[in-house]
Amino acid sequence: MVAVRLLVGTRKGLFVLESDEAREDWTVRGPALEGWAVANTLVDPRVDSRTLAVVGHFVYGPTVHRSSDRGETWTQVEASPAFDGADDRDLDQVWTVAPGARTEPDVLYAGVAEAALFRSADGGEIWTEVVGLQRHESREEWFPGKGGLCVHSIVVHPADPDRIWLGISAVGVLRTDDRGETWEIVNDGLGTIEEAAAGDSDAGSCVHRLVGDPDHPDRLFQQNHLGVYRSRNGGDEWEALDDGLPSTFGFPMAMHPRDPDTLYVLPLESGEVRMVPDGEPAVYRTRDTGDAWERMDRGLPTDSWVTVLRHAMAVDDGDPVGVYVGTTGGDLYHSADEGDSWAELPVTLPRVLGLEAVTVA
Amino acid sequence: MPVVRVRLPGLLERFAEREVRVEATSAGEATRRLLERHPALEPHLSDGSTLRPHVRVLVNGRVLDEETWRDRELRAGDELAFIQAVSGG
Repeated sequence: MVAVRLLVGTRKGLFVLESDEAREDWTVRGPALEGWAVANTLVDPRVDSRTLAVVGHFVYGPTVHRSSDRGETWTQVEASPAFDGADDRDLDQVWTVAPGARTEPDVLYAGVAEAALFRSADGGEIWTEVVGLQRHESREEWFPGKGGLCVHSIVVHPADPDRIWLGISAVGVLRTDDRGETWEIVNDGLGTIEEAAAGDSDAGSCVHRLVGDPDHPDRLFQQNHLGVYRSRNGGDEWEALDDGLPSTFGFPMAMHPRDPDTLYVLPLESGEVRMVPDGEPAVYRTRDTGDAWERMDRGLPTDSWVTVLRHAMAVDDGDPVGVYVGTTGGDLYHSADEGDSWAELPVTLPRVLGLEAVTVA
Repeated sequence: MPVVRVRLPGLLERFAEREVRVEATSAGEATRRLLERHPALEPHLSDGSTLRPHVRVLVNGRVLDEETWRDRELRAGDELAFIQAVSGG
């Protein structure tokens, strides 16, 4: 019986790995969407059977697809995110889709490059731009990260649909309290990368991944270009968390689904190198909201000079929780004991872009 | 009205048949008919009102001009092809 399903978005399509509760033996399906880059997938926790994928191609452009059969077959939605052509912005990529508040189960958000936010009120079929973001006074000063000027992380307050946080590279965290009409940059305490420091605004912090705590909505965490940070007050202030981490740089971050004091990151060496330090991949885990981090590398390889991208880490909802990491070399590693030990999954894939893990009832 | 063939690249087959037959007298009209029948193709071929930057249009194997391709007249049996302008390794 299938108990855990891992959706793996890669540069060349989507693969689905399945296992039973023990998570020892895995089957591999795919590729679906063969030849298309699948940056990220979402299995919507609010609506059974709603799975969305953000799909793109360097010639044929980005769209959103949906599946109602566990990732087996995919259909393009009716109206994917697109700019209206009133200005010269190009929509290069849809980076992520995220669920809206629990109280609005058909609302979803999509983050794209060039940095913009889209909203769907019908479960992901029709997307319209949240234009308030473009009216921010600092908009002209926004500077792209290496992956482009992208909205890659979206956190919606679980009970207050008016409050949303975005992670934008290389702008920082933006917060709205009116459902996207107006936005505030909340970068206090974060470092600013020199090349993105611009004008008088607070823009210029390169957030790589932003994660919210659904049980304590004012608590946010981020892996930034310049470190790992925590906010206890909705982003008003950020504090650096570096005790036990080998570097400040990295991309992915994941939160334990039942214990929000537990998070996972995978540090990389510097913004110039962007590989795991010393060719030895290691996940770092905190059990105390980031005050201390411990290295978890039992079972992970050595002499493996890989990178792990911002969406290429996931956790399932099992007990104990499973943790998953996909590399730019196409390898997948998983832990069935919350990170204590690791094993390689039996497949080599194209460059891994995004992981989504779900526990199947 | 002449019937022409429209050939699509393999990656776009998931949105239509690989070869679609439409009635049209110009490349622009054939494209309109194609997209009416298969609207899911539109975001992949056009970027707003213009062709995507790496998409090329051919008639009977000859590349058309990027600015004037829609005006190219078509006759019965002609093949209009959309391809990606990236090849080789």
